[in-house]
Amino acid sequence: MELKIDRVTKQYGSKIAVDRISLTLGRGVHGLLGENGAGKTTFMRMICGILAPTGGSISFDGMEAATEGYRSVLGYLPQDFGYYPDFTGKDFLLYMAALKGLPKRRAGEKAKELIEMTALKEAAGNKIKTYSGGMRQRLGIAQALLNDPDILVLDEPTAGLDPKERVRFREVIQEYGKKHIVLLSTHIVSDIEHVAGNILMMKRGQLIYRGPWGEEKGDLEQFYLKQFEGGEE
Amino acid sequence: MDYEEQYDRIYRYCYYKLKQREMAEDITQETFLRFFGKKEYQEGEHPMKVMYTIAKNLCTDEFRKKKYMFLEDVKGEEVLQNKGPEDDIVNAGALRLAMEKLDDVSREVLFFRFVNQESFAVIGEMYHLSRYAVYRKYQKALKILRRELEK
Amino acid sequence: MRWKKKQIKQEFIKLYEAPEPPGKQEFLKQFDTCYLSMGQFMWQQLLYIKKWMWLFSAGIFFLGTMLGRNLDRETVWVISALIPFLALTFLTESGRSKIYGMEELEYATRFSLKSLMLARLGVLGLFHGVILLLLFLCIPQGFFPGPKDLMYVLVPYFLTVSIGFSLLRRFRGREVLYISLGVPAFVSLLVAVANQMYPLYSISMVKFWGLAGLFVMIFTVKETILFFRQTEEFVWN
Repeated sequence: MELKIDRVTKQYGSKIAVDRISLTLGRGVHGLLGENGAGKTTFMRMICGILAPTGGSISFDGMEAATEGYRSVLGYLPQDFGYYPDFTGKDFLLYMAALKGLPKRRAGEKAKELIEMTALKEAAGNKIKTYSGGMRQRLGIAQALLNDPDILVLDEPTAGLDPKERVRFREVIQEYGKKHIVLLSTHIVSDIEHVAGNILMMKRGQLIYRGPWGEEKGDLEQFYLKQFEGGEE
Repeated sequence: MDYEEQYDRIYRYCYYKLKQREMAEDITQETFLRFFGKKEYQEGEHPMKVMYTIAKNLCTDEFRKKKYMFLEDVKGEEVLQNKGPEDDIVNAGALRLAMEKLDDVSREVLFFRFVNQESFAVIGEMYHLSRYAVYRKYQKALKILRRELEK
Repeated sequence: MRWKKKQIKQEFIKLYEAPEPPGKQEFLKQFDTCYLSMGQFMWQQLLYIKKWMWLFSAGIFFLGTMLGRNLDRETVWVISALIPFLALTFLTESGRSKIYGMEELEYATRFSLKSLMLARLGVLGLFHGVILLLLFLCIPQGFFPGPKDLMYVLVPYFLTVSIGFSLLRRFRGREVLYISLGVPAFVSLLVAVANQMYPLYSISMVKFWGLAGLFVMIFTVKETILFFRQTEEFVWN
């Protein structure tokens, strides 16, 4: 199970949003750290196959990104997402399940399972517009897991979650990462320092650090903040 | 028809034949595996007909092996084991007695029609009868039952 | 006691009632088809088209047929002014994902936004095609309907769709809703005003309608291709 990212670049006119990143990601939780504008979201969109790279390639177990087969094994939680106003939480999950190709029965089973896992059982029958930010985020996490994706990509997933929800989220991710590839981006170091086995740091489109982070290397947060001292965002 | 519906129908049929839950389920599952195992089964004839035939043969084999009582052998007195209000027991008993007046095929036709809601076409294929012949048998069976039940 | 067939059936079912098979769910898991087929997906998507779209379209149709009875050559432009509102539902459906910020989620799925759009717009388009044809037959004409008269319904519809698609591609969020509502209103007004200035619907305007039809068709094809191309890839401004 390997996600191969080979010299992937995204350029908009003269601006280079992602600059020749090469990586191989295997099972486990990979934390992507970087300030806003570092290119994290652009990078993640390319991994999800929804943005075409200007250069380089991405593939998973031989399948090119953006192919149907690749998208079938993908779960994605974007940084911002909306919802159709008349949908309840359950409607939303069933709708996404259909798009992910799950047959009706399986969709129902999975939706039920994930509603329980994200503690949304009471609210599942209510319209999403009545949900708090934290609830919406949990619903977003639930939809990302519907098809038991081999590649789970989460862009700023803890935004809007209260401390208790964050802890629960970390547990879920850690468990999921044991058998799948999880790529999670954030600008909050504490979200990933104890959960991610592999740390990736992006600055201005480039990967400035990759690898595990052990205690012997010191405080991750300090190291991370140092990278941006004196530089422009 | 989805798999769950097919499973339920075959299971009910096997239970009708064998009156034993575990054995009925085993044979249902065996029927599924055999049906989906051979590509030839899935093309051509109506799938339910093929599955019923496989199940019927498996039930017959089982019967031969273990000498189960087929429904045809069950007497009217057995109805006393039925739980439920007085009326139910009386009705069930009356129906059982009336059923004894029918031949095996007629009984099965009623089973397929009432319990499994099979079409006359599929039932016809099972017994190598035309749809109309099955329909006539069905109507005749109902007539006999009514006559017996009104006695 | 007279037994009715229903009663016999009920007693029969009770008599042959089988206990629940405990191993069913577990066993059937292995037979679960892993994925929905494209056909099943398309059918499911149809059900997501809001009811009001069908009703609104039908409403336009009925209004059009009623007006058609009372029109003559002088007032036939009214039908042309009505048609853009039919295209309103088409544009609203096209823009739904964008209006509610769902595109990014929909892109990253197996079937993706493109299939979704093709399914829904395909069916809605077909439905509208039938309505347009029937409305065309309602237009008052000479001895038999001619191609120029067909343009009276097709041009406003496709003009609305092509302008709509062109704008939809460039915007996201709430603006898309305004476009879906505004463009039909604009085209309708355009028809009304243009008719005041020139006798567009007179018999002498064959060339105009021919050219208009051609131009609008080409524009529509181009914009449709670009629109669907955008459903394949998320374009972030």
